Amino acid sequence: MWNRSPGLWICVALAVGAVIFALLATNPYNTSLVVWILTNAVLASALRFVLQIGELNIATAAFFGIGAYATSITAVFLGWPFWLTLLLAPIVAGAFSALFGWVTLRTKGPYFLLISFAVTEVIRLIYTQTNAIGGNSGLIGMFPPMAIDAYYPALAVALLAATLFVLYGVERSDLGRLFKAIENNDAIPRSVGLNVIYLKVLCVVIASAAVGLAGGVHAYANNVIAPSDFTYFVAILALAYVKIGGEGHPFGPVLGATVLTLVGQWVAGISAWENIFYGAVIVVTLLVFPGGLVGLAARARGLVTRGAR
Amino acid sequence: MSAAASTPAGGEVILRAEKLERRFGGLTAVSDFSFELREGEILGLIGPNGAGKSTTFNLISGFIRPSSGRLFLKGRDITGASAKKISRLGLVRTFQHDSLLSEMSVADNILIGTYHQRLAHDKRMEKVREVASMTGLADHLETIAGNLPHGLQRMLSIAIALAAEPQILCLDEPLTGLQGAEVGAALDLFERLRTKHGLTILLVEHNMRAVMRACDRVIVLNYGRLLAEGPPEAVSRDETVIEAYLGRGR
Repeated sequence: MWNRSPGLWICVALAVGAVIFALLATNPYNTSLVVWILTNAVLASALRFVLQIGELNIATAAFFGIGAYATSITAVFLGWPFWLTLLLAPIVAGAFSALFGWVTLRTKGPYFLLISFAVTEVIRLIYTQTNAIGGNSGLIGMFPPMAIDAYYPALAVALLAATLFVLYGVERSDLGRLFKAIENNDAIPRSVGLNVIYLKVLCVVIASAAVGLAGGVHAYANNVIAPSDFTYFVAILALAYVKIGGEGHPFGPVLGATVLTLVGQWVAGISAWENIFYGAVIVVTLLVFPGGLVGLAARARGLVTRGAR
Repeated sequence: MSAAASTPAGGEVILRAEKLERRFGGLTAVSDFSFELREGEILGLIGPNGAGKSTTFNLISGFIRPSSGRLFLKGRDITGASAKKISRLGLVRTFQHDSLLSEMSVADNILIGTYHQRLAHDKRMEKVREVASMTGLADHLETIAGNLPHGLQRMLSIAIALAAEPQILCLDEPLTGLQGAEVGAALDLFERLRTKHGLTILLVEHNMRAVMRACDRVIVLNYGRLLAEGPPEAVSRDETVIEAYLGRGR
């Protein structure tokens, strides 16, 4: 997989570059922006990961929140060590998603989408109604240990980038091939002795553990979390990253998250127009280059090689 | 003595259905249907459209559960067992429609069939190549399955099933849309699978000439019930069967 793919080495170089940037940049705005880009890249990649089995999982947002809350609760109230609270984020998110998937993945398409949407909103409402975990105002005071504090953005970027590589590795493995087979025609894997429900749950658990870790990382990066950070809209934005970057390639969501997060810093100034802007970008992308930026790049490369011949 | 009776068929009973019944709401798709499949034979399952052939396939492969009746595979009660379990016990079916992974390569299609077995990657690929060469797909491993010519697509659906190493292969209309020479090649493959690989084959097929040539025995379904059973020649002369297919001559 490594020797055949120069693109993968470029991605490794990009990831190392991002870590070094987060380590050296002195402006805290810039370092937190890099962490935020990588967080969005994980959200988008996890959303696309479940799209492999053909399902649009809005609950990606919910498991991001569950990871963030798992880390924050154990850090703030229980005072557990930093690494343990961070490790708990993917485990708790993964465990919840296993239960969620086992019940809901018997449905497909619009049914699954609506259930995943409802679950996301119900979990958010539970946060707002539970005063013990801060209710509407959420939790504050998640700080990395003093010894790590200065390097935390670099650590966050490294963890998130590693998560992206793990998702990529699974997609390229036998397991990834099975996910695609389920999306293509799930009767075939069923007919040759495979447990399709189990595989679908596994797909959701892997993606949810990834966003759970991103949630834990986010909690320490932001020092404060609130229920409003984990609405269904997180998944909608992730979908925008996937569509604009390009769904057909694992690098698509990373590219989409990077471009749109950077652009988002600019459109944040136009307040009410922000969501209209995102909506317009999605519509234009789907109309003009449905393969996203990655698809556009592939097409451009095709034109160049044809021109060279 | 018929030609069928002289072929090396009729070993132990490997699959037995007892009074199988399946209702869909008010419709009874299969009813009081008992039959036996014997090790090493090629059994034809025929009947007019809507006779319950596909329902029977779904029942014996665990894709749907019978409303009543029992199923035994190698003496083991598999009534209500999952498709996964039945397939792992050695009964693998193909599909009449959507019988492959159209967006994936031929090699990946066949690979899917190997995943229930714990194998090293090299062994898997060896299996893929072996099955591909048996089914005439060796030169198309990298082709996207949906782009294969129709005849090879039918072969690929059989190849996926073969990669799962079945003892019983249930083929749902594998010859539909094949050209004359392709039908001959497919029938040769079935015969080879039986003699060289010891497979037992249950064949649902509309091509009567092929059924007559390939099968040792034939069972006929009509309106979800067993209408006739016997060697192909006898069944093809059976008046109730002719009537079911052509209607009563008046």
